[in-house]
Amino acid sequence: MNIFFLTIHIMLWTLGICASYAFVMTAAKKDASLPFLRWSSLTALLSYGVSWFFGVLYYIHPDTVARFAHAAPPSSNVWLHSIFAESREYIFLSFVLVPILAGVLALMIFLTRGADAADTLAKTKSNLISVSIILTILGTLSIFLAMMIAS
Amino acid sequence: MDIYTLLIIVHLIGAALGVGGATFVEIFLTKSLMDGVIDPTESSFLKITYRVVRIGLVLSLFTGFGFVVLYIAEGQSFKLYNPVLWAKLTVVSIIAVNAILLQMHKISLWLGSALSFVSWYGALIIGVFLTNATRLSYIEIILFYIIGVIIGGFILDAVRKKFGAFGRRASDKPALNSPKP
Repeated sequence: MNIFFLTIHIMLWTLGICASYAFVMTAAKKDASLPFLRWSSLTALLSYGVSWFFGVLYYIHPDTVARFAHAAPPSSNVWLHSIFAESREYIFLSFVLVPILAGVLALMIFLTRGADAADTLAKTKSNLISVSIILTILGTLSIFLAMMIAS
Repeated sequence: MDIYTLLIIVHLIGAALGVGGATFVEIFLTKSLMDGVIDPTESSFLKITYRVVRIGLVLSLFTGFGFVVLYIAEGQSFKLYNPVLWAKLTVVSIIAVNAILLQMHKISLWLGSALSFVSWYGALIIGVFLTNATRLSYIEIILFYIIGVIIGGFILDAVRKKFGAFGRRASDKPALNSPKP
């Protein structure tokens, strides 16, 4: 059962990375499509959010807890394993931060509406790009680090 | 068919779309720039090819992480410590970052196209190393990759110069309805 949770967790997180990456690529265009930005930000928020929930279910599952408790470091790259093992709690913090950041991005883009939506989008474009780039980088780093934790 | 075989098939399809797309982007770009301008038809071909490359990237990404889940499920998570895997992840990350920089016009065409072209082929070759369990260090692979990008950049530039890309202006191109001499 915990592998089912892990599969959903990783696949949805990957979808979140793809959605936030699509947001960056679209926002960087001269004629950025507002409906596509809304769609991609909402996909990112839902993906990261649901993935986070399944991630929690995976990490608190008795099988996972037992595996972490009895896990021996691999024979090679022991120093790398120890770094990731020690930084586990901090990586959980980034797991919490990513869905919140996705929520901020979705809020920013969904509040851009009305007659002057195009002007507002043009003015806030650099901020939107910055937030979405940070979101994509954090999402990608989290999954890389999660790979090391899960092993 | 087991999950591993399915993942391999979809991963290879993604790699084929990415490598093939990156190759055709270069071909279309060189052909389009021969007269100095990219007309709407050429632009639409390039857009479609970029979309194919992105589909390839998404397929490769999902199946790549699918392998991760499979390794953990089958108790083979020691494979995640393979430096060749991390070199491949680095090259794939460079592909994604390079696409953003190209979109924002924050990177020169010389370096951007070299990075895109060489990185896709690089990811494919590193994937073969992974399958064959070739023992190479992370530094060795990245060093070969950097050398590949530099050489690739000069080769692509030479190809563009040979076919006259950037060499002619739009005004030099005869109009379609101009009288023949």
